[in-house]
Amino acid sequence: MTVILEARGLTRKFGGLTAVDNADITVDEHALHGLIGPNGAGKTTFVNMITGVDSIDGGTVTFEGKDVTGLRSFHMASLGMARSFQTSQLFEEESVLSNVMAGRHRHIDYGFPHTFFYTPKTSRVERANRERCMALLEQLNLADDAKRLVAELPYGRRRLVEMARAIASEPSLLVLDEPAAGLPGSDVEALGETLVSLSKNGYTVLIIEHNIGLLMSICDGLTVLSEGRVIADGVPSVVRADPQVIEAYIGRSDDA
Amino acid sequence: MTDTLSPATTGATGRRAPSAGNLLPIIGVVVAAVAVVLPILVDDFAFNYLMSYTVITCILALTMHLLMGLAGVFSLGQAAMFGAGAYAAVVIIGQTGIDGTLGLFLVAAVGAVIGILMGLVTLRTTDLYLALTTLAFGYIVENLVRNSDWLGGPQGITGFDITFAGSYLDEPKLLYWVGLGFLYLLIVIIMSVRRSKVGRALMATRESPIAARSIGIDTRRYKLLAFGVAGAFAAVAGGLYTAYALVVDPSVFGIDLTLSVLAIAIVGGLRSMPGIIVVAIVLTYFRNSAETFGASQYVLLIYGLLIVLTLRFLPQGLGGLLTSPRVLAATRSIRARFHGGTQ
Repeated sequence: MTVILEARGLTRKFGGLTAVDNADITVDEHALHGLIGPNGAGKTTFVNMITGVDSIDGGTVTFEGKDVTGLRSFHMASLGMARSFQTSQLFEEESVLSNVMAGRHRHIDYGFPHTFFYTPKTSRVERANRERCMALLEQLNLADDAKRLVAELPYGRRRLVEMARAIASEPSLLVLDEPAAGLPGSDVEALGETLVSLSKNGYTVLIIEHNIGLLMSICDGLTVLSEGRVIADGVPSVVRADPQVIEAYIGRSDDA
Repeated sequence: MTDTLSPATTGATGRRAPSAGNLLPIIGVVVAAVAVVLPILVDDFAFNYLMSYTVITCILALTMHLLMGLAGVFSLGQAAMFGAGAYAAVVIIGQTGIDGTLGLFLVAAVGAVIGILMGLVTLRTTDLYLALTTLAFGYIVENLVRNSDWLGGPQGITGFDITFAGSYLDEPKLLYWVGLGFLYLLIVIIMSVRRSKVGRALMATRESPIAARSIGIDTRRYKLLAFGVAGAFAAVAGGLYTAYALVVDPSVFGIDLTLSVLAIAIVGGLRSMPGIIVVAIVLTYFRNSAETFGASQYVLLIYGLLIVLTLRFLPQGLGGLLTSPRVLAATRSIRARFHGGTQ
């Protein structure tokens, strides 16, 4: 299997606090990879560094064989690394369709004069773009909401819109920051199915969660972060049995 | 919160994203055509003179629409480009003698460069701080001009001729038509941009910069683009203004201008092109009438009042009414009555 993402020795310090300390992660192509750890383990900081949202104090990030250490997030995204956020970041006063169409930004290749003067080419590309996005919304059961404003959607569907927007960019790596956070149990199951079907369709997904139940069942690989350090890495069955993981995380919980 | 991942929760009653009625484009084209022939229909010098000023105001107000409404950049620095355009027109067209057909585009280029420069300097800040730094940028440009002897210093420059295709642009009818041409060009650009990739990128930049960057949009680049286009057209407005005023002095950079155009943009609705155009026409007429009645010192006071009232009762401005769900429902029911209830 080819490695799509490799981070080595990533470190981030906030004042005296080392949020992420010399952490490594490797994600294989077409894999569903989980990054887990208790609250405050540094998962989001870790992912923010990988996706260029936060700056890096030490270490390297390699994406599709290229060194991308320290590139800004829009640059990462244009290379094919899309992400969602823990607290959803949507274009609230816009329709669902418009949110998702924005996600295809990097695939829309017309430039001046087609942007300043609505030419037949603009019209053609925009129509194709709209159709593609509608098809995606159809797949995610969002088509009925296509024209609704995001601001008025219920929480779970908003999360789904954010995921749809990231998927619309046809990323070679999709990073989801706690997609299950705040969802009721039945929705978490549906989310799990969506994620599995994404991976079956050839997507590579990196999921951040503190609730490991979901990830244990669907992931091909897991990386466990605790207090900023990677304490375990491997297939779920091995990680589950790792004494350090049990002590740091599962041991304190009734239900793994 | 329940049942959020299944499609069953969607109802037809939800608030829909704003969509302009299909009547609006037709009205727009008719109004645009009438605007072209208006000076011939009403062949009155004072009226045409006022109309040419209105068109200049419309151009400037729409640059605010582009910057604030579409890109979400709260800039108070448009006076810098307006003023720079005024001086550039005098130097390029009036003094160097390049005809306006080419000269006004050179003026636009000057405005675009200054606009982008202003963006490069001020985009380190956001929101209120951006408003202040752009305002400061305007003062800097004003003081540069005020202290440049070759630009006439504080007295400014008089006695220049702005020509367009060989004719003098101080003829109000011609000035109006040239202004209208640039206004239409700006309208076409804004309408095209809104429906294209760039419009979505500006929308994303405005609504959530973090999300915009996460889908590969270089927010800074698109803000600079908005600064550039807005700067170009503000400069053209300034250039046309010199033909209207026949004199250019540092007062073209004044805060008075910024505030009155800001009032127009807010009252009309930052996001609404038709709203801004209507309010630009009405308030310019009002201002002119107030000057005729010797009440011009109260104009800014009333503008301030209008801003407060708008922000309190119509945060989306008058244009927001066009897309407000209640008004849309009302127009639908009225039209249904006339057309036998097809909707």
